[in-house]
Amino acid sequence: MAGGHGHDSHGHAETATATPPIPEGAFLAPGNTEMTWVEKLYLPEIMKGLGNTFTHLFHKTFTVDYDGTQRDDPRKFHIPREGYRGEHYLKKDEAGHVKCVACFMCAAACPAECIHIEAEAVPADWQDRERYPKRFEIDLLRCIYCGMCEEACPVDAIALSTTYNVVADQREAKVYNREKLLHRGEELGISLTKHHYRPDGIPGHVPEKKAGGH
Amino acid sequence: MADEKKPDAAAPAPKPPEGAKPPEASKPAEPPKAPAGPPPAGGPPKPPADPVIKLPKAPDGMMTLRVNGTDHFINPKKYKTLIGALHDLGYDVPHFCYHPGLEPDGNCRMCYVNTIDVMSGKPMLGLQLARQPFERYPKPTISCKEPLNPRGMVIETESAAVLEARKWVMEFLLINHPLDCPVCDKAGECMLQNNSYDHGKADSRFQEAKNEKPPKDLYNPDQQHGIKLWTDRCITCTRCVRFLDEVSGTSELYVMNRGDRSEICIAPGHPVDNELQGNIVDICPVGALIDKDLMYTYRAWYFQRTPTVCPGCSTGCNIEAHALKQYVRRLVPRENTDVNNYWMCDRGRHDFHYINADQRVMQGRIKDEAWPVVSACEEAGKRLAEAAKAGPMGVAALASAWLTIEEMHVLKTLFNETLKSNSIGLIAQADWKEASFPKFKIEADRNPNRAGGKLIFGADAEEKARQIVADAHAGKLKVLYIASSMPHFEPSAELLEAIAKVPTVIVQDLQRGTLSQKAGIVLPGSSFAEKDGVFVNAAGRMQVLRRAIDPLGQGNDDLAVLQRVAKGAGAPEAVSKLLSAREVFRRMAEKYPGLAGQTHLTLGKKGLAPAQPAPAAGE
Repeated sequence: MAGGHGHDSHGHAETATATPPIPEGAFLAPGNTEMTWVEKLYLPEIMKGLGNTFTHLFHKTFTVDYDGTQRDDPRKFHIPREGYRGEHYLKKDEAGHVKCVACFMCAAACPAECIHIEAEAVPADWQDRERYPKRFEIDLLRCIYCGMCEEACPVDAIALSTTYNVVADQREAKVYNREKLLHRGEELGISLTKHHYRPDGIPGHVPEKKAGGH
Repeated sequence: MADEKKPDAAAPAPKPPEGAKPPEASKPAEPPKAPAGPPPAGGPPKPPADPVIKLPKAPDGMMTLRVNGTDHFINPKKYKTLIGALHDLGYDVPHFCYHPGLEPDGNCRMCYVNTIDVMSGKPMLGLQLARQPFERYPKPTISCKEPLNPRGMVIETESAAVLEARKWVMEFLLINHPLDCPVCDKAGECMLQNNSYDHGKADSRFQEAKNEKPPKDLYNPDQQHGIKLWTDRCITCTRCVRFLDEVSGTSELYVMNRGDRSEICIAPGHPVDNELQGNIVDICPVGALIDKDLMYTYRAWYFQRTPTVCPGCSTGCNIEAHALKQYVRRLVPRENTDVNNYWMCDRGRHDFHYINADQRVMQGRIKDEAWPVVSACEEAGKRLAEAAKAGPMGVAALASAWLTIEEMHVLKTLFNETLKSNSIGLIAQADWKEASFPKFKIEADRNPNRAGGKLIFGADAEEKARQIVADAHAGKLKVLYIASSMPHFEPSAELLEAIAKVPTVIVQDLQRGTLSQKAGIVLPGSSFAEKDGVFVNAAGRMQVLRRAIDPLGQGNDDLAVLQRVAKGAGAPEAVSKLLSAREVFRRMAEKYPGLAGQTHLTLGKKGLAPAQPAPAAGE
């Protein structure tokens, strides 16, 4: 093979000058390596590898414990970027009522069909509208977090937070009902914000506005 | 198109004004050329000019209608106005105020088309009255008021001028509309939404404040069913006003004020409370009239719509059952000009809540013990067979006029052939109050399939039922099978007394009530929304029911229950096999001369009128 290549390069001298001829023995056919007895002991290589491991023991760590104890350190705790689509929450209006008007637009837009709403006429003392959701459930196990519900909402009542790390040990616990979704908004401190589009999702963390951002 | 000959005038052969040009092109040329058009031709006799467009001659009694360059031969007497013919030919002419069941009014101006003058080959002209020397200008025609000209017409429904005119109309209609589609109950089945998508503009140039009007209740607070009116959503098409004038004849609504202040109004103290009021919700092209039953709770696009037949009375109005998650939510009428036109009465419309009510019989019961439906049916069949073996007159059946003819046929075959008994009678609900309106009638007979019962069991089925009750009273019967499935059925005192004297009473019923309390064996029945089958209405018309929700009796509808009973009684497979209603009907068609050659498919969505007045009973 090497000889053939050399013959070719010789034949087209002008065009093939850029590629130097391949030295003899550069390609080793498999099975051609005979290990020495020192190599067959493997000990030097093991020592090399262990040495690499032990040097890393004394380096700084980059991983974060999942228990959230280190979340005060923003360098260690993963804060999703703006626009990250995490768990949903429902917003409240100034009167403390759920903003949702039960128009079913989110349920209609949902590609995973994970939003279940039952609408009802509002209580008599709500003056500003006619209908509200008696039942509002999002099955977060079916949800694909596409954010279409947020886009579809005509009254900006549902939004996706950046919370991504809420786990549950029961399937039922991941079906969020209306109260839970409202509570999520309060927990995040953003349920009343009117057009807060992409808030940080850390509980208790006051979202900071970036200068000139988004 | 091909046979048409044009002298020399314009290059595009069939439809000269198709492009965007006609307004400019015809305006200056028209006034001197007036003698060509029909309007001025009236005074001195002139030699008839050759028409520019020559239409092919239609067969006798028909006329030629050229729409967008395609010739159609239609019968002009069949249609009131042009729009009906265009819709029948499949042209999409948008409209709001026009309704095929009402007199045309022509107030919404949405159904514009271009009418081409055959003589000049140009659009018909209207007078521009605002200019002092009157000018003529090409004016689109509203097709809902345009009578059909039997000598032939040339129409354009998609020319540039028409499309432009529709856009203007849509913009006008939307000026005061609140555009609250997300919270409007009509969204999804709204003509204003649909036409706005298809023919409207995406944006409005209207800068001023909208004319807001408060909503009104059209009902008295003590009324159970009623309608709410959103005056701001209304486009004043007056469909509701015309319906109440023409069809129900009650005239509760009228239009008050003028121009953009005009609104539908009601005289104080005179609510809309006639028995056809629900129809004005259906015909309202926007969300202005909403039935308060379902108000605020539904979205129209989630409903599963099944064409079926109303079981409310012997008219058999064609309806659509709208179901959501196995619950029937509402019934709306379906067009059938031979039966109910476009309407249905409120008694039928609101009488479906028993379907998903709590009192439904969902499983079998034998002597106060719950049984699975399948075993209860087979046990009932065994008792029937035992009693039939003991004596010839031991068993009898009462079938209700709410069963489909397929179920009646299975019951009849079981009794005649397996149990060797001929005593099957037909029981029915008592009549209710008849109501008559100018263009609608609510029949007194509230049983949907009494005619079908007479077709299957013979014309004397009801006398036979009386005989069976008398026999039971005399203590002759051992087992009585009552296939009721009638909602709100209150059995008569003599029937209850007779039941008390029969050792074994098997009742197949819908609701837990008086009848099922007295019975030893209760089997689940099913409502009209849970079964397929055929009802024969008072006029002898066969109409097909279709299943809107799954049967609640552990998946068994009336037909399956009867077939399982037949299996328990040891009937041959022809009866006891679990066949669908469609298949049972196909087999019935070979036996009954009235059904010859028919299947559910040939009956179709609109049913089949009897060829001769009364199809005779088979055998």
